[in-house]
Amino acid sequence: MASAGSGDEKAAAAAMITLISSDNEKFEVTEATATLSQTIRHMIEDGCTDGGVPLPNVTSKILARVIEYCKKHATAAAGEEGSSSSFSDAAFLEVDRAFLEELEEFDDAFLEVDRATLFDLILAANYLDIKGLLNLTCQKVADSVKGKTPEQIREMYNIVNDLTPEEEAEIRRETQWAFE
Amino acid sequence: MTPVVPAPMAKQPMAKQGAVSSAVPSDGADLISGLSDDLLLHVLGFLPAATGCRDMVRTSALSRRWRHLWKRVPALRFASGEDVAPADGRRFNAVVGAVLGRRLDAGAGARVEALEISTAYWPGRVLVDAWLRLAAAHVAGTFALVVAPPPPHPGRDQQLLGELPATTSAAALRLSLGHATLQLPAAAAFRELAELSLFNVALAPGQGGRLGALLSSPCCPRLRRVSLEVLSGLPELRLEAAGALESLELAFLLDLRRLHVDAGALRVLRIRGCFAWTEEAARAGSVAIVRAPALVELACPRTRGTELLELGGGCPRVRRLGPVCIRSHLLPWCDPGENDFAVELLRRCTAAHRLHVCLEVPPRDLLYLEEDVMAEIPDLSHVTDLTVEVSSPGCHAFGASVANLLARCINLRRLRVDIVDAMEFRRKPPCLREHCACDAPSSWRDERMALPHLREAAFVGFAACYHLAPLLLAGAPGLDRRR
Repeated sequence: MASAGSGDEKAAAAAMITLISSDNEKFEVTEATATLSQTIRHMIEDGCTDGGVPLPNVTSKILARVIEYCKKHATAAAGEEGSSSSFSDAAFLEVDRAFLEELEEFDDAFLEVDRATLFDLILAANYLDIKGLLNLTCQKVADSVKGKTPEQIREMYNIVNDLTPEEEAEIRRETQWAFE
Repeated sequence: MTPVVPAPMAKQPMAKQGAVSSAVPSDGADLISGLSDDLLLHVLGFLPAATGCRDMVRTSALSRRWRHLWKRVPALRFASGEDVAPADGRRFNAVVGAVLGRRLDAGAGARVEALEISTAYWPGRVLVDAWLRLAAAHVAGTFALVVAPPPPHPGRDQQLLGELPATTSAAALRLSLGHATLQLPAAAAFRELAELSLFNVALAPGQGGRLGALLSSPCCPRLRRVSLEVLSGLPELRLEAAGALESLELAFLLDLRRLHVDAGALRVLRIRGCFAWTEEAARAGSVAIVRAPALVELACPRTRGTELLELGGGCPRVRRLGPVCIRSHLLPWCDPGENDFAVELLRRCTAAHRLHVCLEVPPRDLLYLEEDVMAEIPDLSHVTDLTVEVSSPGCHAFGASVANLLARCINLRRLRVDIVDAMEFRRKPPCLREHCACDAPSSWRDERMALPHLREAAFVGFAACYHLAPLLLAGAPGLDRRR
């Protein structure tokens, strides 16, 4: 592991990482922000981040959004570690609650995107292995499906129905209780 | 989940014109089908548990790809929510049964990582038995089943369940069975079981004695955490070869008369609401014998009954102790030994740095009481974190008693005083009767407190005892936060 030394140096200062999008745009982010992505965390641990991290699956438009999410949530993670509030200290709990509410508002606003962007975010979150972002975006898709009939879902997502009428009738017969 | 490269847009834009709603970007591509199966399963996992997974099953009618997709979700969660009308409850239970039937009967090898069912309507013993059997055969991770008690049926006993399946590959089992009667097998092989909770279960008559053997190493070699709560039909529990057991919680074991635990790895033991005290039990001597040399946390609050607990080998490593109940005063007609067990525990746990005391001030008149029962409490200089939970239903003052306790904790760093009946105190002024023993000796206010290490103090619901706070401030120069 020749890179062990350089890894230590990076950890010492507020090290910056360069992320390179598929359309070759460069983004400078702190290591704390970048390591919300397990994929990048592993790259840093393996010392393969010199000269930037190419992310051929993520466009600059999406990467900018992902970084926005990671910045916000990285400060949240740091806050949690810093304020290991002592027992019974209601003042600290108040601060935590206010911050969590702010984070929730951020997440809600963050999800105000068109559907194409939402799916690109899911793919990016999955590729970069950012658990919080993946859950957030998948929850949004699940919420949109909730309580809908198959016809409504097909229409909403342009899903082509390749079932024969006989097959579809059979499925509905078998799972009639799910349609009540 | 392994990251996936975005799949090429597999489907062509829909041919149908005008079907695209205004909310959809006009390209009309089938975006959702661009996700891998793993991602779609992840999305399905976020569908609500309250509808009995009906949303999930309905996706099978979307297209060929979706038809069997939902049957591969790793975790199934059903939760009816509280306050369900009987008709809705019955329907919910039927849907759970139908989903499980389709999901798990698909093949003998069908596996789910987690299965959680929580229903506010009693599903009937046939369904409960069926779910127990299905889970035993198919769940690899956690199986949780919480059912509401059956509606009362005078003169009819329909609550007798079958036998708990004797084999399972589940790692965690959490059962709350609405006080239905469960039969226990004579032997079992729970090879992977690491965590077991049994709540609200009646053990079949004569079979309670089997539980100890089922929880011991030959049946459960990996069992680390056990929690038993509100069980009847368990007169005796013998856990004698529980080699891996780390945490044992026993609460409201209504019929328990004898407990025998020998667990070399046990670190946490919590007992409450067990061992109803009877003359007979008292004559029989110790009802609980525990050998747990590695114990670090002990909670055994009641003063009565559990005084018969015998801790073999002492508790040299216990670092967190409590709640322990202490009476501030003993009325003349009370047993003079009421505090003996608590005092003994405090004396034995000399390594406990965190202590939680429930200070019970009797509600009755305390006139002309002279004996100072708090004097029995040993030195507590090892305690650095103290929580005092005061219960004074008669609105007696308790400053003297708390000060008495604090005088023994000279190395205290953090203090919390919590008043259980704060509302009472707000309505009614505290006891100011001249000869009441609650504030005696009245000289306590003039004595200097010495708590040189105290850094934090929190008073919750603190309104009635005006004198403690100034004394604390004077006696603890290092106090930097006070609420």
